[in-house]
Amino acid sequence: MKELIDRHAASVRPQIPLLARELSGRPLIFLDNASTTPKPRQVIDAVVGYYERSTANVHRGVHSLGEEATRLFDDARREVGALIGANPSEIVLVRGTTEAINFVANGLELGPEDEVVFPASEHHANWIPWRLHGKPVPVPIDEDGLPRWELIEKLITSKTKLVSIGHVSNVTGAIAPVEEVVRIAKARGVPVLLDAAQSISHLPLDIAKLGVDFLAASSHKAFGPSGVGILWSKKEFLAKCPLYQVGGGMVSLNNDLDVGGFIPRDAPFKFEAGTPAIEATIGFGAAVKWMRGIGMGAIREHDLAMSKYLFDGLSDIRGVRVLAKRLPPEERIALATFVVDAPSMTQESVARALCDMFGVCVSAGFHCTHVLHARAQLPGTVRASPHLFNTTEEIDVLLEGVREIAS
Amino acid sequence: MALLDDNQALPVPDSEHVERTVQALRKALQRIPFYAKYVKPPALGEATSLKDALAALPLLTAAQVRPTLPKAWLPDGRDGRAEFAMGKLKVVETGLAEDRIRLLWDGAWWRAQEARALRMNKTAAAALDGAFGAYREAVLWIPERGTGSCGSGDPEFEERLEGNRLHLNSRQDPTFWSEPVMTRMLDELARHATVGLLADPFYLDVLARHASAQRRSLDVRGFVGLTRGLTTTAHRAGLKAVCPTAETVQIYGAREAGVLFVEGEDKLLHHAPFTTHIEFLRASVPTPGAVDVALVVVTTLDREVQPLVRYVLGDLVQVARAPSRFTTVSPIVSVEGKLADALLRPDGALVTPGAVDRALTEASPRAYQVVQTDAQSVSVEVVEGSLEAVKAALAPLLVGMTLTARQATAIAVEPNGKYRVSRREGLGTSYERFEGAER
Repeated sequence: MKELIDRHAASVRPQIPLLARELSGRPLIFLDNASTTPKPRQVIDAVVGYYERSTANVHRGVHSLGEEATRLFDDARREVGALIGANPSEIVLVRGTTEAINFVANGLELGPEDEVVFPASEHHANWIPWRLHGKPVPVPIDEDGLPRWELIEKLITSKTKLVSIGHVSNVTGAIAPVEEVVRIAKARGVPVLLDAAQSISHLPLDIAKLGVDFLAASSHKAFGPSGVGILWSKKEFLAKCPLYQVGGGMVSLNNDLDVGGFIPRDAPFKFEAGTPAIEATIGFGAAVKWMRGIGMGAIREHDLAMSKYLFDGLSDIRGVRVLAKRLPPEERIALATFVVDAPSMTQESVARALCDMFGVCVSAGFHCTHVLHARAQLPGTVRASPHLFNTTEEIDVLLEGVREIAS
Repeated sequence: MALLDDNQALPVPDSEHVERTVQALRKALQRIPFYAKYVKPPALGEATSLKDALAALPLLTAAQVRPTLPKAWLPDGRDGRAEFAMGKLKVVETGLAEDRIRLLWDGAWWRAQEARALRMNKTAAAALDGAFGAYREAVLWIPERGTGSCGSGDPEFEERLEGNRLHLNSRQDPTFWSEPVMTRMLDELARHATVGLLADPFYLDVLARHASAQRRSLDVRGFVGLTRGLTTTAHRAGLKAVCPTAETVQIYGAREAGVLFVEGEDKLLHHAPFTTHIEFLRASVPTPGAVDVALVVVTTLDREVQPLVRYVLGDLVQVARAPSRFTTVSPIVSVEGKLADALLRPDGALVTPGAVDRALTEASPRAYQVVQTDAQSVSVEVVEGSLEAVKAALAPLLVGMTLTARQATAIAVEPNGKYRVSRREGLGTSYERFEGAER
């Protein structure tokens, strides 16, 4: 297991400049990938290359630079489409997962009695929109933060307009039983939204196999720049989905003076008013290309082994409660959220100590899941989220640090 | 040991300050695991003088404290786990990212030494003794309650009460305080029947300007203690407009060590007895705009947990040429800001944040931040003020440097909610510019 993890990590580490950094004389150990991932050289070069060689607006420029920029930009959308098995015309570029979910919440035109079913463990991005649009119906979770999936069928009623689930929990790392949820929802004629923020860079994604109706994801958690993400949906939805912002770039013809209106372009462009995040999108394309070059299967292979290594290590430490540790590696990604019993130290203080003493960067707090933490009666947690470039030696340093603090 | 005089108004001078400091040094070195493990100090004999003892010990910096855990700072024999469980001790953090350290926090100790030190100011002493009604205080600084990296809501009034102390603020950055939040603070000052207000001057300035816009005053009956940050000329002006009667008192403290100096009626800041010993490491380079500048090194006397020995606080002061009142430590004229924020001129001179602020008295911008990014360049962001006037005022201080000025609508806050009027990015610690700190 160690050999496999370290072999994968060794093959990509030289490509990620951030990993060469030191913190107070110690090598940086980056274990906060669930927040955002470091960027490979290929992504940095793509962004810088656009600035240095191809700066121009897209879908407008008739000169050489404009054409170059447009090609790079459009390539990115195609690359992302290939990653999830989607036609590029069904991919709307948005700011990130949060905007993608809000896009759907707005597009479904939900009324105050229209219900949206989702696990109570969800990130606020997949909860608060359903308070603003429609009526939230959370699926209960257990004291470990895991959804009680067996209850979902009962919660889907004639009022249910959507089931919205996180593919991978940003707190427990648990992988949702997507195909089963889709089967149950579809039997009742209810569409399913998949929040793939945490899964897009960890798991192979195939929308046809998953059977969902919407997929939302961000670039920055998949080795790409922040500020861009995708909403994938079927053409039928995009065709009838109301516009929520309008302006330049999305208009086919402005004949307002003649007929009092305008003709929008086809999807996805009709949803992308204004100049998009060009360089971020080009970087996103480079990131996806980088991941596909490695192979999502290989990434998952590292992830499975890392998950076991991480959980085995943490579970051995006295004074540490690891959430959802009973899940087998096949049902989770390499993401561990835990509480260190360090009297009078907040979990945020534990995380800072790991950084100050060991150079280990992890998250701490509520991870945008107040309800989950309240249900688990936790005043905050620490989250370690490794990725493909992390080694067993780095995990050993994390474990040493946690052991030291817990003692 | 009686720490207050018979009428309880003022602390008694500590005639045994030197002996007490030697004892504190010896005790800390003997009982605290950190010193045995990391410093490996020489044994201090019974006859060792304070001067010899200090000379034998290295300076301690935040960089050395930073990678340690609380257990390294608990005296032998103390049951930290039990004290944590009882809430007697907790772990807090202080300082910005690079200088952040974890501290063992004994709340009872802090409050006791703080109240003792405040009595060095006659108005504050009278306030504590009930001259303005039962003593109740409010604090306004980086929130200690209600924050979290992912939010945790705003605590109610009762949840922000800690004995007679009201924590006014639960939101990090005053730039984004809403009007209802500030109005709530003004209302609560009155509701709490506040006698003493302890405030970060930058935070207070924002509230004061809101009060002014609302044509209200700060309902503080006794005194306003300005602490935790540099009080600028603009802060004083803004405060005076809405709080004309309450006396302002400069308080120089550090979470690591307690209250170090408190302003007296002579406008000097006097050293608080029984809590610390202070060494002033004098600047060995020119300090234009400031005289008798020194770097503050502190040794704690009555901190049972995490006592500090020759700890470099990182603050600069102007030492007063006046006799000591309560200890052997000289009073100070002013706190000049952090050494890390002082500007370094190419000719070796050091310009303190305090000197910058004095230079800007006439130009009087509402707020500003001076930033040095390389050896030759300084930029200044100015909120509500003339760029030309600011540049002209700073030019004599920044000889040999390129100065650029820009308008801004707000000053950037640090990640922990702290405001700085001056900052230096990179360029080292510059300890070598102080006598005795070259090692």
